[in-house]
Amino acid sequence: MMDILTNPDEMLEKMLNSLGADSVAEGGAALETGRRIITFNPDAIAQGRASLNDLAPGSIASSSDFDGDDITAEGLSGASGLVFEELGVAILDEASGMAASSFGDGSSATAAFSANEPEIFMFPAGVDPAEYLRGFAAAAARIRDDLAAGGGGGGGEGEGADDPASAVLGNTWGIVAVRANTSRFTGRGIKIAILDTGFDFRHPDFAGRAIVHRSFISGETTQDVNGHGTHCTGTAAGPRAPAGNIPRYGVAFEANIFIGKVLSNTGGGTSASVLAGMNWAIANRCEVISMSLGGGGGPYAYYTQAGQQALNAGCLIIAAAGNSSNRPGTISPCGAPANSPTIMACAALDPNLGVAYYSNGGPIQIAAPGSSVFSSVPMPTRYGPKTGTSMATPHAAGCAALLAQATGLRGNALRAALRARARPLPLPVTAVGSGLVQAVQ
Amino acid sequence: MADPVEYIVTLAPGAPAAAVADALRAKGFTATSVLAELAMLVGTADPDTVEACKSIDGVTAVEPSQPIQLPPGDPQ
Repeated sequence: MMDILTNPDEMLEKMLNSLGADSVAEGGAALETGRRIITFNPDAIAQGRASLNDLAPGSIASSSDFDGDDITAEGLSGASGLVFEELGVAILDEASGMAASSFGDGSSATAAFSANEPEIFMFPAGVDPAEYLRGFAAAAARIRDDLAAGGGGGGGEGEGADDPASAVLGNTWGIVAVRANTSRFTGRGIKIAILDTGFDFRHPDFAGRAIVHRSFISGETTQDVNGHGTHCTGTAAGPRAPAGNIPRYGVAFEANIFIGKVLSNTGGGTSASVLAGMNWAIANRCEVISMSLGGGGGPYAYYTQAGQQALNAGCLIIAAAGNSSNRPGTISPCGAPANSPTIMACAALDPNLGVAYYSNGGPIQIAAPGSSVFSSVPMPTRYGPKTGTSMATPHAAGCAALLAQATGLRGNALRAALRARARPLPLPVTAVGSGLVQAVQ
Repeated sequence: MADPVEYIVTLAPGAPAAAVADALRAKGFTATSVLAELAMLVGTADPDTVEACKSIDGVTAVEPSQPIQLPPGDPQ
């Protein structure tokens, strides 16, 4: 007979096994532990406990068996159920043989029970269960590997890339939501430009990647000091299997990366610096151009024309809608350049696939994961979370790169196909456009 | 006379950039770069001359360069 407190390894395995694709796609359906919670009729608690003891003599513990309120694993050893008398409930182990089907049959033994429900795992508020469990699994695996390496902590590097489990377990919620983790496509042969604060060329996750770069900020190299550009680059084109059991956070992991520094290390620039970067990306025929930046006003003729010239040249520009809103009360209009009709405006979603409270509205074309996005940041920190439509945009750009590789479509045709393949959401088009961007499978 | 301001001049696609630049210069516009892929010129001018620049054949818009940044308030 199993202990009611399951071995932690078995518990984790059970949790991960219950992570079906459906539960993830639905934004985190309740995950069951396998145990049942029986609620007693309030006036029949003693009768209920007696009924349980009749069904499994000697194996039902009670909270009153323990001193004070502390219930210990040692004290529960051998028990297949536990009655919380103050609460009027009992938790029954699945292996007791009486959990799922022994009640609700109208027998006299069940007259004392008012409900028989599955126990579910609980998570911190606002956290997607799938992401939480995967992160937990990755952390547990890393600790395990470190211990196996003698506790020195130096044995984990590089092992994750060869560990098949890391490709299954290690995906950020954004990668799962856009289904990049199951796509056959990689972005190979596609040039993706990230026009931002630059990139940290020392980051080990990009060692060996050919990166073309140029700064359009006077007096500053392309090296990213701010961190924003490195984060966006990671989401768009980070590696398939980062070292050390870090979850996969990049969509188009074989795309050719073009870094245009159009914002200074303090995050500022001008239309002129941004346009110079756009001109450079188009001249290089980058099929996808990701722009996690914005300003007030507009739409401006120059951004609208730049977007059209890009489409004419076979390049698709995706830009952040902006974060000025405070939904549901305040919905700010999309900023420039995203408000130009020739540029694809990208909204942000939270892990429940709701529109993020800060995400601007208006002429939105597509939506992507934007809240609590894990990606690369400059060394020595290496990784970290960020939130914003800035984080949504490179998810969409990465998916566009996969679609460009898979279909050969470019420019306006690529834009139309990306929208057509989006997963519809039960939200206004002014909030999420065609819906959640999807990686071609 | 006001201080010069940076402007973006948007050209009609196919317009002769060199000829338009010459005409702009005659109006007091100083071109600093040509964005050939975008069919645009970047430069500086006295705000008082902008209306005259807009009337040049091949020019579709003359707009001041705007500050731009990481989307304001990127929540962390």
